[in-house]
Amino acid sequence: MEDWRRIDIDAYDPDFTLRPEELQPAVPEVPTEVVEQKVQQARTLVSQGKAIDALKFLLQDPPYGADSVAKDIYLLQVIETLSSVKQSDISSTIGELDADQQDVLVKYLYKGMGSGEGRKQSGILLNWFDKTIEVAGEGSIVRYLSDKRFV
Amino acid sequence: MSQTLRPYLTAVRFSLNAALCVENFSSQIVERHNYPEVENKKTKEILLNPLVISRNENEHVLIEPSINSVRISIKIKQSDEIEHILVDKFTRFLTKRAENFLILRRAPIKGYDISFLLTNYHNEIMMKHKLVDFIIEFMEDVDKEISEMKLFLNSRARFVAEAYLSVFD
Amino acid sequence: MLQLDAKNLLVEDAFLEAFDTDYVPATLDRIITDFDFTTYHISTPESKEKLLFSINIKCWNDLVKYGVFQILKDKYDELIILTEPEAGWNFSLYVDLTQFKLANNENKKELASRLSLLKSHCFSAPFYKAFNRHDILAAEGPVDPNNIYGEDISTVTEEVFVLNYRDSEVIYIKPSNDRVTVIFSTVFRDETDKVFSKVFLQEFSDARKRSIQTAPQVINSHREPPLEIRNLTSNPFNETTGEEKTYITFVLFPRHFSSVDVRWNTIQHIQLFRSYFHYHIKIVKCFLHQRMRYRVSEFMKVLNRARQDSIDEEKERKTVSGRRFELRS
Repeated sequence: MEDWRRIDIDAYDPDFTLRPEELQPAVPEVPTEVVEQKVQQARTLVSQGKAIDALKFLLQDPPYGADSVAKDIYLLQVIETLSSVKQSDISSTIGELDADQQDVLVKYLYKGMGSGEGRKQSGILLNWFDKTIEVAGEGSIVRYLSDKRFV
Repeated sequence: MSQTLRPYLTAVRFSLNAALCVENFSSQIVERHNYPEVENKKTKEILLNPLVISRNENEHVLIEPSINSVRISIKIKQSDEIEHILVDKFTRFLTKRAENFLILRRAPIKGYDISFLLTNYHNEIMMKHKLVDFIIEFMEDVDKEISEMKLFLNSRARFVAEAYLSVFD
Repeated sequence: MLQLDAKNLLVEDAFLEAFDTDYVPATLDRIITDFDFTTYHISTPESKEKLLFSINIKCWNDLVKYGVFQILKDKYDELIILTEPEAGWNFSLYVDLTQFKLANNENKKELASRLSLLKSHCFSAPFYKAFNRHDILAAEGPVDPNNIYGEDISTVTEEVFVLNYRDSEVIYIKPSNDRVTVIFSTVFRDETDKVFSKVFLQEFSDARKRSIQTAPQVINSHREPPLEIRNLTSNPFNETTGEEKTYITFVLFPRHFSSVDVRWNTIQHIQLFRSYFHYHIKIVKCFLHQRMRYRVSEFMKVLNRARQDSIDEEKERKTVSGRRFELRS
């Protein structure tokens, strides 16, 4: 420890600041198999032409507690489902979702735009995003900003 | 206006509107200090989730909100070497004038071309919706300016070349 | 200023002044610079009425090889050319003012302008030599009329004239029976210049195809030397110096050196290519800078519109009954 003057001693004081773990609300752990199972189920729905049902199913109970690899698989499925909904059906689909599902959708849209895979689909995501905000309002963005449960 | 530009800009506008809820907040770590928490990042509980809005692979905006400041970083479209140089020149030109620009961050965040830092102070002296307008207008104009500069460069080069070669005969 | 003038304005001015009938002879010692590390020296070492005019060129030794003396002797035959130039200079001549006292204005002007073109005349030596060589080659092997703009069929053994006119930049001139090829090698130290130069060179190559059919053909290559000089053993910069070179090839066709006047025009113009090219890259940067300055000030205006106090000033406050507030100062 040659540069002891630069040590951030506050970081070692447990009472001083909140640790990231303390900020994160407790979420039940989701094993990867369960995520894969859900993705499979959604895929089947999409292939049956029921993209809207698949979307509802995916947004119902997102795997907050899964590891990042499983989350990415889930995200890809969400994006795929989104892109299989017809352009003209987007608004009505969003209308069918309840408020919680809309908030989860916003989370996935942001995450999609932040990830390399989703950037290729940015056109679709932006389209969805605009329509969602039209329906759900800016409140859903604020809820995205402050929710520490990550999809 | 191209097809994806409009939804892109409205998405940025909505996100900025939502993120720009800043208030005065003194540092919890150092007494009598008050700095943009998004730059400091020492107090985790007052930082909000950063978000990215992307138009395509090489054009996106990163918004990092916190309780008293919001950092906006823009990656400007650069499709070739010339545009890269022009963007670089232009943003450097801007950041050199950051003093007058108030909200401009002197150095961009890594991976982005230009960054703005909006604090509660700026929100007090300026109107929020006009600040958002400014960012949107900036994003629009910067693209336009870069492509105009590129066109200018090409036409100037053509003019110069023809002027030189026409003397031979 | 779009075109660069081959004349050196300062030299011309100095001589015009000296030839003036009201000129009071004075002691002179002037050093004047020109492109490509060329410097002139005007001084009066012997008497105030005898101007010594000297020039220093970086690639003088190359020029001597290509018969620069003969050309200068022809050009300045009425002046006294020193066999032993001034120390530190490549070429010197005396201009005796008394000799021109009675000459008419036209002649004086012509001489001043001729003196100001000294550098161009020096550099013209290898070009003239190449053109003459072309004449010989053309006489020996007539051009196939069906192949006028085709590939260069001349032998690689033909001598290439080399001018090391700047530190690591060279002009190569190669005559053949149906054309004379002039190759410039140039180096860009600035990354931006390099990219801009590509845009410019592209336009140089395209200009002929598009509008100016009479212009020489321009071919550019980056890093890779053109075929004409690839096997050149005397190329002193063939080794990897680390600097990236750009080669610009001008193919001059017989129409560009068909008569004495055309020859001179071509030579004068092509010499200035490098200066012209670099100069315009700088200019375009300047223009872009202006644009940016304007754009930034526009952004400033938009940002300032967001300020709260800006509306306070605009809006006039009134009471309910419609009376205005008067500002008391």
